[in-house]
Amino acid sequence: MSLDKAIEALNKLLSGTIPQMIEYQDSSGEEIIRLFDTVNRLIELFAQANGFLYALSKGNIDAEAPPRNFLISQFKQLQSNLRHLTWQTKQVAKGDLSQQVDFLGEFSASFNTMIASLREKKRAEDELKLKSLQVIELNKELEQKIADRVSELRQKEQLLIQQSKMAAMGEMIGAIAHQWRQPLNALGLLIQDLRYAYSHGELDAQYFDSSVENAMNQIKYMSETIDDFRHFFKPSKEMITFDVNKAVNELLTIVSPQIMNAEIAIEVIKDAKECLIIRGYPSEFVQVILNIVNNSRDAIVQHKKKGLLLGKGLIIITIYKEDERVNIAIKDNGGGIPEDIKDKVFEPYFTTKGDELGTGIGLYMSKVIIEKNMNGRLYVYNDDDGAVFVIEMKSE
Amino acid sequence: MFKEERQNPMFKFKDVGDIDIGRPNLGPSTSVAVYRLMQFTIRDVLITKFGVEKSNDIMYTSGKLAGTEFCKNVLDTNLDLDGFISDLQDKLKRFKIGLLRTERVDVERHEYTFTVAEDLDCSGLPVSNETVCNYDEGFISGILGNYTGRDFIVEEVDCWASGGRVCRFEARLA
Repeated sequence: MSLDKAIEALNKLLSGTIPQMIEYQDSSGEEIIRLFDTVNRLIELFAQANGFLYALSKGNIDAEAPPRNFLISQFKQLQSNLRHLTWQTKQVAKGDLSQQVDFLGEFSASFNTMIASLREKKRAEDELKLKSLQVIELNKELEQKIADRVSELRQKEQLLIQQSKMAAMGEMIGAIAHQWRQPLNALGLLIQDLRYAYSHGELDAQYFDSSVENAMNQIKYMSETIDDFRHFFKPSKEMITFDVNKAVNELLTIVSPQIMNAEIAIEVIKDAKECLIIRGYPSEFVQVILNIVNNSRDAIVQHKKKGLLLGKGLIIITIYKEDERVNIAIKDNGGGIPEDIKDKVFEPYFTTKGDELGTGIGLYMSKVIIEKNMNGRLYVYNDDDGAVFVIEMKSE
Repeated sequence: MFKEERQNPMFKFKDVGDIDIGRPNLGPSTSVAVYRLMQFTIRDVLITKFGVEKSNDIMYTSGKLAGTEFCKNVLDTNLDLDGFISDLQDKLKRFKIGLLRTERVDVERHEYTFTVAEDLDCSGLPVSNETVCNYDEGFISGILGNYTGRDFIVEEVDCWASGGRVCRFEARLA
């Protein structure tokens, strides 16, 4: 009877059922009591293991593992691993990608591969972030360099403008001096004649008035010359539309005597049918024509000096309309520009004339005025006799 | 250092000597059996002289001293807690002391649950219904104490020898 209780309890355990603890009387006998105690201990261990494993199977990996229970020792190791894995996953979520799993077999390999991928992704992201920062930094440096360079160029441009003004002033003084030579000579003769007339008793009121009138005419002419030049070199304040023919004619009125003095003929060929109006800064435009004409004059003079031009020097200014453009071609017979320096003639401070004749800024400033300030185009090519400078402007 | 009378411990990590010079042929490692032979025989004699409880206390205190020196000299105490635990895991594995698992970390309450698999002191021992890793308890206590500057009590709640397959340690502030 007593043994039946123990056998029944053990059979239940074997079939997966937790039996009730075996109750017994103290009078059951020592061996029976030891048997019952052992079976009851087994039932207790089974019950603890069952509770723990059930909780574990439900996903409660923090279930409290009963101590000193051999039935669940392997599961404690599994629980420990799972809890550690949970902690590791939290660490990974916090950004610690150094975690490695060295248990759980195939799972470890997959987990570690996943972490390696994350690590590689993060490395790539960090690298990208670093590169982006470097690019931003580089951009800042470049922007600063560009700003410095622009500032430097502006300063140089200001300097060039100043030098250009000085050169223009020099041209103006030279031109005035040339224009004044004749009236000054006339004034000198009139004054000498007054002394001569006085010493010979010929200086009456009528003679004196006539001489004063002549002198005043010369002075008036000189004064008008100054006004013309002042007007000519006065900077335009704003862009306006103007007649190219008229501007070129005004220029020639002033510079022709000097050009002709150098034994150079200057011709203007223009299309009388077309109204050649462009938009820009007239004074600056005329200054460009003057720069080119002076350049042609100097080239012809040099060409002659070298004995390469036996006939007369010639500058031809052709003004014509082509499509929607007004073109001004200034052609000379000064031998042209050597091919090896043709690309440099518009660079600042580039000159072949030497310090006495050239500053190297005339053509540079001409290009700036036409292309940067007036949206036109200025270029040069050589023909058989010399250079041809072409200004292309949009027709208005 | 070894045979002076003392009231307080004098051991420093450097006292383990220069093993590279001392063991050019055999190297820095020895067998687990030799380690256990020494520890278990010392423990055996301690129990005969001082009883179980006092012997456990000596093992714990020795482990704590070892943990403190280990932490000072081997671990990077400048790392944050997560980094420090990772470093500890790495070093325990490299020194072949055991595979540390972190089961629970409660930073606010300074409570931690660690397990050590393949523990140097006990893995593979016959099941005796006892937790035997008192030296490890002290060792972990010394490490945590040195890192945090607080005193920790560490208790082994599961041990290979108690049938747990892994050693589980619970640490809390003293």
